[in-house]
Amino acid sequence: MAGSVRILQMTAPLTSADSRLAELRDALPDLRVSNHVTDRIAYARDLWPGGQIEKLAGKHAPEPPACVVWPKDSAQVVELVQWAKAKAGVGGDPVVLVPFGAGSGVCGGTMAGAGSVIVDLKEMDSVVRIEPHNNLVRAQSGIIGWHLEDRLNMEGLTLGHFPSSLMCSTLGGYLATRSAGQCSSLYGKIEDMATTMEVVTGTGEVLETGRDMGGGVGPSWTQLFIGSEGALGFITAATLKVHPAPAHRMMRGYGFGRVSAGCEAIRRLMQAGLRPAVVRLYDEFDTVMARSSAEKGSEADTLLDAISGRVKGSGAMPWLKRKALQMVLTRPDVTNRLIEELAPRISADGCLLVVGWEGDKRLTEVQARLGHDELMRSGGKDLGEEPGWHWFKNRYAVSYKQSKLFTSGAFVDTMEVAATWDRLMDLYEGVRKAIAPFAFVMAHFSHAYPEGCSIYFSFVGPATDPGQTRQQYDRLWRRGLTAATRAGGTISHHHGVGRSKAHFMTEEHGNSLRLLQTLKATFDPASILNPGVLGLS
Amino acid sequence: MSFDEYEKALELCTYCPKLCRHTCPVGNAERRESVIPQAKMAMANLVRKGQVELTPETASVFYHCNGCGLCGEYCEHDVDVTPALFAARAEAVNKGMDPPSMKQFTDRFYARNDSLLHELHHTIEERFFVEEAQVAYFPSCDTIEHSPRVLHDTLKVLESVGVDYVALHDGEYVCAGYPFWAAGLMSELSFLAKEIASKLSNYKKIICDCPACVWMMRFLYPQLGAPISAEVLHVVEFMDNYAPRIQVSSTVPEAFYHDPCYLGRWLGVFDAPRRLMGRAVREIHEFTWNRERGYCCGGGGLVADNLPDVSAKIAQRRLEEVMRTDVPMVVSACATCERNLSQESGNVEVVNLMTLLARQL
Repeated sequence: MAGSVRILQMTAPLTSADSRLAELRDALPDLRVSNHVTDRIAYARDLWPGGQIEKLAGKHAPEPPACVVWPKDSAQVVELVQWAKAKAGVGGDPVVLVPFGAGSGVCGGTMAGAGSVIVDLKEMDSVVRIEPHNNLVRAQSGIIGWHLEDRLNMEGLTLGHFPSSLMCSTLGGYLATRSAGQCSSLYGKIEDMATTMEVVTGTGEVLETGRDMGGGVGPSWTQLFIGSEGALGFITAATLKVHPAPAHRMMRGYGFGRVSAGCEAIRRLMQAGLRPAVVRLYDEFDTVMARSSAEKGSEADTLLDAISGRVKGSGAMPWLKRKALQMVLTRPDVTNRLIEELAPRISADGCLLVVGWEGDKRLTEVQARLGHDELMRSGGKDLGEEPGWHWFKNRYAVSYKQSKLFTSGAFVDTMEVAATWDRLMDLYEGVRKAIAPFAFVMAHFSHAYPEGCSIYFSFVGPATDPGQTRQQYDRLWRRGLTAATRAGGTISHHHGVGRSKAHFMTEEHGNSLRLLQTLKATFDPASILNPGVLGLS
Repeated sequence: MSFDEYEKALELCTYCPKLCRHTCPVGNAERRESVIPQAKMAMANLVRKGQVELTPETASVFYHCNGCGLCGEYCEHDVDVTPALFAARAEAVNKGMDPPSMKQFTDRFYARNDSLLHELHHTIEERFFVEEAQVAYFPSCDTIEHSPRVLHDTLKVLESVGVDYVALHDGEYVCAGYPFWAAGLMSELSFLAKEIASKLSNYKKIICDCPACVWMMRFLYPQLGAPISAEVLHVVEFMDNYAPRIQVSSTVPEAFYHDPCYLGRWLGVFDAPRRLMGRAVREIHEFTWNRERGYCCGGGGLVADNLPDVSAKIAQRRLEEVMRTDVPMVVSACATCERNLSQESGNVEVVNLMTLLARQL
C-alpha cells in the first residue's frame, strides 16, 4: 500500500517512502519488504524513554523509516548491504540500514531516520543445532530470548541469560549491546557466553569471528563485534556456551544497616571465590519497592505509600493519588532529601540483599552454606528464604511498572553504571546527587564481580509538561553520566550506548575511540550501518 | 463495551515495554513488530485519540489477532487484549473502515450457516432431533464442516455411558456467533444471540462441542442482553462426570494433549479433558506451553480465514515440539483446533477427544 495515512506530529510525509520501496523491490525482488503505515510507526524507534516522553506529547513516529525489510538469511543481508553500498556510491539520497531485533533497547540504539531502512532480523530465528556433549548451542540472531531458553530447557539445558527483557528481546540484541542477565554473576554476561558469531559487515563480507571452542590465538574478533550496536555489521548467528539446567536452587534474603555495608559484604563474597547466581542489594528506598513489587495495584500508590511511611488505607481516590504523585515529583530534590531522612524508618531491616544459588544440588548447598557464613560474618541479618523467593517469583514484574508510571503523568528510566569496589560508593553518591534535582531516584547493586559491581539506578520524574520534560530528561542524563565518569565509573554496564549516551564515548574510551572510528571506516566504509550509535557517524 | 471504554487498557499497552510479545502466535508467525499485542493496542489507541486516521490500512492490524488471550496470561495489569481489539474491529466496521476482506461477511456467515444446517440434517438421523428433550446438544459449525464424524462419535460415547436422553438442537443456527464478534459485527451478534438464547432457554442443559460457543453463551450473551437460563457446558465438562463409566476395549500408548484456547484459558477447563483422555491413552504428553499458557492452533480470531499463511505457520509452531518426538498423535477437544493442526501435522494424527474415545470403546 502507498501509505497516505494522516499522522499528527510526523515530520516526514509517509508517501515519501514509495520510491525507496520500489527501488528495493526492483533490486531485490525476493526480499520481504513493507512500507505499510502500521509498520513504519511500529518500527520508528526502540523503547528509549526519551521516545516514550515524546509519545506523551503525541509524537509517536517523528521520523519513521522509509520501509522495513525481513531478510531470511545472511545471503539476503549481504545483498541488502551491497544494494545500500551501491546507492551510497552514486550519491543522492543516502540509504541507512538500521538493524532491528525486538526493539526493546532503552538507549536509542534502534532509531529510524528519514529515508532509513529498518532491517528486522526475526526471520532468522532458528536454533541451528544444540550440542549437549559440548555444552554449545548455535542459533540465529533473530530468536527471542525466551524462545531460545525454552528450546534449551526442552533439552535439559539453559543459557543462563535472563535479562528482564527476556520476553521482548533477541539474541542479536544481546550481542550487539553486551547484555547481562539476572544470573550474570554465575553465568557471565553475553560476551562471556559467545564463542563465535556470523557477521555481515558493511562491506558485504560474511565473517565467522571465531571457532566453537573459545580461546584461540591473536585478537578476538568475536569480542570486537560484541557491543558494536549494528555500526560495524549485522550479527546473524552465534554459538554460545550453555549449561545443564539447574537441578537445585536456593534463595535467601539478608539485611544490612547501610548500603555500603551490603556492598562490602558482596565484595567479600565474590572475592572468596563463591559464585552466586543472583546478587542484588537494594538501597533503602529500592528495598521498599522491591519488597512490594508483587502487590498489584497502582505504582503511584506504592511510591506514595513508601514516601509517607507506608501509611495505607487512606481511601484516596486514584486521581488524587495521581495528583499527589505529580506533586511529589514536582520537587524531586525535596522528595529525595525527605526519603533520605525517612529511609531507616521505611525499611526496618535496612537494605535488602537477595542472594541466589543454583546448579548441582550438592555444589549449590555447599556454596550457599559458605556464602551464608560469609554474609553473616559481614554483619548481615538473616531474613530467611522468603525475601529471596519473593524476588524470584517477581523477577520480571518490575518492568510492568513503566506503563503505569507513564500513564500517571511521570517518566521512568534506568541508568546502569559500574565501577571497581574502591570507587563504588563514590559512584553511587555522585550519580544519586546528580540525578536528585530532576527525579526521584533509587538504586540496586547487581552483576557483581570480584573486582567491582554494577549499580542500577531507577528514577521517576514529572512528565506533566511534555516539552519541558524532555529537556529536563536530557539534563538529567548529562549530569548523571558526567557524575559517573568523574567518579571513575563506566557510562553503561549492559544496556549499551545507543544514541542517548553517544556523547560520552570519549570519556569512556579516551584515545581508543580512534580505533573504533578506524574500524568503522574499515567495516562500513560507505557509512550505511546504523549511524549515530556509539558516537559514530 | 464500546471502543472508548478500553481507554485504560490501551494506554497501558501503549507505554508497555512489550512484555507479552513472546506469546503472540501472530506476532511470532509474522515476525512483524506492528502485529505484536502491544503494537496493535498502541495503534488502536492512536486511532482512538485521533492521532492516526482510521483507515482500512490502519485498521488492518486489528485483524492480526487470534483472540487466543495468551498475552493476557503474562500481563501484570490484567489487560484483556482480545475484547479490546475486537472492539477496535467494531469501530472500524461502524466507520466503514474495515479491510476489504471483511466485506459481505454477514451474507457469507448466513450462507454457510444454512449450508451446514442442511448438512447436519443430512448427516444425523432424524431420531436424534427431539423437541421435548431436557438436554440439547448444540453442534458447532466447524464440527459439521470439518469433523462431522465427531457428531456421531459424541452421540456414541454418550450412549455408551447410558446417556440416551440428549437430543440434537433442532434450530436455525449452528454457530453461537463467535465469527460476528471477531469480525466486529456487534449488531449482527446481538441479533443472533437473542435468537439463539430464546430457543435454547427451553432446555435445562445445553452441551456444545465448540468451546467458543460455550464461552459466548455463558459470558458474552448476558452482556448482550441475551442470557440463557439453561446451563451451558462443553461436552468435555458434561462427560467428565461419566468418565469412570467409559469402558474402552483398548488404549493407545501415547499422545499429546493440546489445550484449546477457549476450553482452557477462557473457560478454565484443564483437568476434565485429561481425565477423559486418560481412559484411552496410557501416557499423556504435555506441551511445554500448556494449560493456562497453552499455545494457539492458529484457528481463532478469523485469522485462518483472512491470513491462511499466518494461521498455517502458527499451527506448525505448535506442532514443532511433537515433530521432535516419535509420539504419533495429538488430541484436542475443539473442531477448529483439529482442522487447523491437522493441515500441518504430516504423519502425526490430530484427533478429537470424542473420536478417540469412540474409537477405543
